[in-house]
Amino acid sequence: MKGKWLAPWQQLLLYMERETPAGICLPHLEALPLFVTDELAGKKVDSLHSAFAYHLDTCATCLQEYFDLTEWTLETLYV
Amino acid sequence: MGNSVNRAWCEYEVRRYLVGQGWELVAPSEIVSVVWPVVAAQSLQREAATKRVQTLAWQQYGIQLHNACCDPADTVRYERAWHELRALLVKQVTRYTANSYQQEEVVQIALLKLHKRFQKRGLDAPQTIYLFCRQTLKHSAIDWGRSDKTVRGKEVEWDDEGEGEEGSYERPMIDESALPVEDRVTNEDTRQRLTAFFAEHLPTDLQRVVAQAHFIDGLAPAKVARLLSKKPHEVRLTKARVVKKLRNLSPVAQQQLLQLLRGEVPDEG
Repeated sequence: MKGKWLAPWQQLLLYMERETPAGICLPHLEALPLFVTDELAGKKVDSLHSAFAYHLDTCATCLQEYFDLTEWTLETLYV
Repeated sequence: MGNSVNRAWCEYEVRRYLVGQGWELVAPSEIVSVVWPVVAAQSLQREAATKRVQTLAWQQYGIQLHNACCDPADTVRYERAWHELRALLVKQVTRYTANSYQQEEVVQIALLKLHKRFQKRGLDAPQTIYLFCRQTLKHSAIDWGRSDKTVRGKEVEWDDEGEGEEGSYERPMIDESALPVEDRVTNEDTRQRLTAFFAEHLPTDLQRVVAQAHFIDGLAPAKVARLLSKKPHEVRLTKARVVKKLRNLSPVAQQQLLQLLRGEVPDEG
């Protein structure tokens, strides 16, 4: 792509190519419990936690952490 | 009781939920007094209302549990609260190790971290206590694994300060009308090839639909959720499965995908 335009699939390219260093992810991962808690409570997390939501769009590691924590919550705290 | 959602039903659901979880620190009536007004205002069908009740119940109970854990002056509640937290950790640690000695060590490490953390100050979002404890346990298991192998790993200082900032979630998107014609043609070609790639490599209809909607049409998870009559977390979980699947493709397939995404000409033959 030319210039600064970002096609939607370029987000997938970031997931495929990028290995985010753990130090970069740590502050974002600290926001993860609240993100998941608020999302399950039906809050609009894309605006409430926009920085983290955007980071989730670019980091496969944090996306996997999100997956693990959300699945754990659904298995453990719901009957 | 039929299918109606009323206060009696809510009380029954909360009581059933708390008993099922083994949680006794807070009386069900205290939880119901917070949960029922919220549920009553939402006019939900029974199944959706049940999920809502459970969500509100664990979050409200979590707040009470957190406050009790942070208040050593009320000895009885304090001890009961830490007993319940310990029980949760003991139950969950089996996910990380089957060795009973290691389990006990990891639980102790996690409890120490939690004590230290709550003595310093409470969580900014007390309703997240269960998720915070799970993350603490996970990192304790990792730290224990590192120390056991005599590899000095950096101990994760777990904090909850990342409360997120309110703002607009604007994903940088392409304005196709501003592109030269040849780029618009390339985009359309990429779209079609990606659609075919997803159809070939993603195992379920839902994954294919979510991949198309998110990575090709550029829709945010919340919007995809509305279109599919699902919850946003269900779409995000599906998206995570899609990404995991694609990252675990064979090297040849990954290379094909990368070429597609970079707009490169695919290798012929």
